[in-house]
Amino acid sequence: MKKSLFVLLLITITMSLLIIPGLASAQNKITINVLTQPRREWELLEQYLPEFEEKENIDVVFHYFAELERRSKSRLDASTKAGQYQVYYIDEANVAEFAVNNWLIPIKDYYPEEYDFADFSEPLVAVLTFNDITYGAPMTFEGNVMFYRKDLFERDGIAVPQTLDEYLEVVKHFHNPPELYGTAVRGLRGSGMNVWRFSPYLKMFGGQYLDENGVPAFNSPEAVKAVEYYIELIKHSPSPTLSWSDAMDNFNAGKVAIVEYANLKMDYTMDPKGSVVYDKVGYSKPAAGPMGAISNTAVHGLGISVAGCPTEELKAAAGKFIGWFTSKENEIRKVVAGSGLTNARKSTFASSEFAAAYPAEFVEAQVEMMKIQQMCILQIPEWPEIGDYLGIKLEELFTKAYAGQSYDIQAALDDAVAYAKEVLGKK
Amino acid sequence: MTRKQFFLVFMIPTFIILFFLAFYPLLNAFYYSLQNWDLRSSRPIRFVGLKNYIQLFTDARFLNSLRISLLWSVITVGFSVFFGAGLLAPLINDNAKGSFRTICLFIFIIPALLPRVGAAYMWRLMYSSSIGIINYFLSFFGIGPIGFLENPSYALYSVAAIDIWQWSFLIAALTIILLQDIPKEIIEAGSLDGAKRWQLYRFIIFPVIVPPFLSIFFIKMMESLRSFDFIFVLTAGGPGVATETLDMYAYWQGIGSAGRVSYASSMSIVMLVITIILITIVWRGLVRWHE
Repeated sequence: MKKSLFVLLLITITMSLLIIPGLASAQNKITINVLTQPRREWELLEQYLPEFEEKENIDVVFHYFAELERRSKSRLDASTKAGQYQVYYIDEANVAEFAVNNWLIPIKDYYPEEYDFADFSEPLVAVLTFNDITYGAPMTFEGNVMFYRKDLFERDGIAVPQTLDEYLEVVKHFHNPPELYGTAVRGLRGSGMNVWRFSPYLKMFGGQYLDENGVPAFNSPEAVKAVEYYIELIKHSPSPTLSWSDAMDNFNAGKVAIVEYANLKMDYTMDPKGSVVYDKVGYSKPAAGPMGAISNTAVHGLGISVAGCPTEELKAAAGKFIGWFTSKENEIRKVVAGSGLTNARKSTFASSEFAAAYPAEFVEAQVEMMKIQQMCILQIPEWPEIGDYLGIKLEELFTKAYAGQSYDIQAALDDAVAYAKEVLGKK
Repeated sequence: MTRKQFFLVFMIPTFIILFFLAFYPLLNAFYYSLQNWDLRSSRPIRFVGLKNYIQLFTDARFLNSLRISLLWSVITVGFSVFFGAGLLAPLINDNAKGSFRTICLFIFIIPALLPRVGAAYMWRLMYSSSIGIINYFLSFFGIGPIGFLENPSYALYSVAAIDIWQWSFLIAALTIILLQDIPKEIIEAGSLDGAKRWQLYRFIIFPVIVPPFLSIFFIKMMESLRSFDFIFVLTAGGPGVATETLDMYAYWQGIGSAGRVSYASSMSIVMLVITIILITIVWRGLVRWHE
């Protein structure tokens, strides 16, 4: 009995000696939880995380949520001060909301010098800036580029469209479902879905979300024209409720003749593993409307959570992680791995690696696109609510039009404007 | 141990757990519903009384979601029970014997074993108007493509069809198991009196299995009022608001986009009250019918 007790005691002491130092070091090690969304470049850089973790003695955990859930989850975490995440994935649609509510720490205060914040493209930094304070380090941007089936255009002797009227003619020319659809546009509801894509059309037809007095005005005759045009595109799409990725998936499957879509989708179109048209695509700048050509700007970045970083140590650790994740070295890694468009640094776009990775025609289209980049959505805290409601109204119109049912654009926009006035009036 | 001690030892912990798991969140939801808590605003939270409840009944989108929820429940419960217990169970009970019967039961349980989110994704692909297998087969007959989930007129019924598919087979399997326990003597007595097959089911067999069947019915009814996962994956409430049920609207208002926690809480409370009223009405009706 005594012998057993002695053995048990010995085992306990040995285990304690082994475990306690481990616990102590675990307690000293900081963990950074990152709230993000699944993207190819995140999976890529996750492979290189151990090099950062070892260098800084910081553990990093990525928590992936789909785009809409990622937005609501970060809002919930910040507003309830739960502080479960130290780093948020932020974008042009929620920077204003997060800044006004003091949910983010100014990024430049904690972005390590060694990673060179000044190298980021200034227009992209501007999107993540509110009232002259920058809240996020940009890591990717999006603008619209025209993707068209070069083989079909050459076969039929069709010129690349320069205006929206020409674009619609081309769409109608090729539309022969179910083998081939003229185009594919986003119809799924949401401020970051159909509304985001519709917004440059609103501007190109001369409409605007707010008038000069800040009153919602997107039920004007110009706005109605923009919706009418968009509905024509929807009618020639594979579905009226395509999401962000559905539209390009259809193009990459060879079922669509022409699309105007996010430049960064080109990485997928060029990939023979997921695209049957990888060697049949031509690229051009977006077609111009009555008010000229406009490309909507989306910028995604990383910000430091106020709720998640109550101590200086955590803030510094979060800053170090963001610095490493958005570093020059990692941007070049993305270029080499075929995700080169999800970058934000001037040095990367000017690099020899970038020039070697993309066709000259695409690089030229992207340069032209960057000249006509505009923030087409409203950068105000109320935007997600206003945009989501407009998204519902647009989706109703699109699905009714697609099904051949009657619809009333003016009534739908009047309803959305009334809602926007109510939301803005409450704040 | 006395009866009283037995009660205290076993029931008090149960009530404590029930309080924290069921009543505490419920009371919290009610408490929030009387406030003006908005996730997107840093203004101080204050009591607003019944303002949220009053606003609900002037909110056209809420009234629409109420209508959709009721329609959804009637369709999914009604058809699941009709197909499962009314058609499939008698058919298999009368015609399938031995190992074939066991195989049928096994096959019937499979749809319900599939995770609902996974099943929803599978059906979303099958329903697709461009790459879906259903439209592919319809094209052989010169039909379509049909926008099952995209047409506002069909979307609710298309989503409901999947719910009915998952539940009617399960209800059929459970009903067959109930039917197995009915004494053969009473069925034979009915047959000797000249009752036809449907009369046997209507007047003898179904009344016997009603009490245990009620549990299945109510589980399905409550489940139907909480089909958030299914609808979220398939349509997220769209097109427009054509499939936006109460829980879906509460989600969009509370967490999804608007961040109005208090307003969404008031919807949850209204939904709870409606569920209780509906179940009470149906329960009483069924009990009276059985008597």
